[in-house]
Amino acid sequence: MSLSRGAYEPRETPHGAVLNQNRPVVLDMREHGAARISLVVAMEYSIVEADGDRGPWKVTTRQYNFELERGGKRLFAFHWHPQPPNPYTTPHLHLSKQPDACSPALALLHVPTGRVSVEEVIRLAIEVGVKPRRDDYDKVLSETQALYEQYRTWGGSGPPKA
Amino acid sequence: MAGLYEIEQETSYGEEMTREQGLELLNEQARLYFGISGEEFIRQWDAGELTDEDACPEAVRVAMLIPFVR
Repeated sequence: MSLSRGAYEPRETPHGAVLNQNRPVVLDMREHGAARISLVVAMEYSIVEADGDRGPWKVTTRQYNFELERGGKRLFAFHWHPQPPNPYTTPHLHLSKQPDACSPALALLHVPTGRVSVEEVIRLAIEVGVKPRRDDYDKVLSETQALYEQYRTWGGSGPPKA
Repeated sequence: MAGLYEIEQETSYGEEMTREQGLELLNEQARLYFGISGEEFIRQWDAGELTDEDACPEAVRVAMLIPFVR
């Protein structure tokens, strides 16, 4: 992961965290010769003070972009970018532009989703043919998903409005 | 909480980039997807000029690099 400078310290503007310098990571496929799936993971976060179990400091997500590509073309893009001026402030999904996947008109839509985790995207990658690197991937993903759900402050369509 | 510590032992930490490295990366990806400089991309993003349906997915990918230069 590449992090913005001062990544472990609080600051006014969000920090960035991107996998593979924000370039798609090509993944191994279960089926030999299958079109390769690539993964993009990018998040903005802030380090904030927190009470109780979540404290004294916690990382809070400010924005995310999780993508799967097939053969170098978008398959799915899961977005949450609530900062103005972008009008699409709730979590959503962009479908594939590949002509055998769905119509171009559908690919332009912002399909509403709940908040999506990296673990869920990795599971989707496995579902579309990626070969897991670990036999215990289900256990590992379940554990980190459980921690994410324990400490997140919101799910669904967005954080509580102040 | 035992499960948390087990996972931490397997976690690899990220590397911080300098602002210059971040700007180089932003320039590269802004040119790749939009044919513009990173600085111009930030201007257009902040002005809401990259929010239409056609630009959104690629614009969001590049915009994730903005924290590396702000």
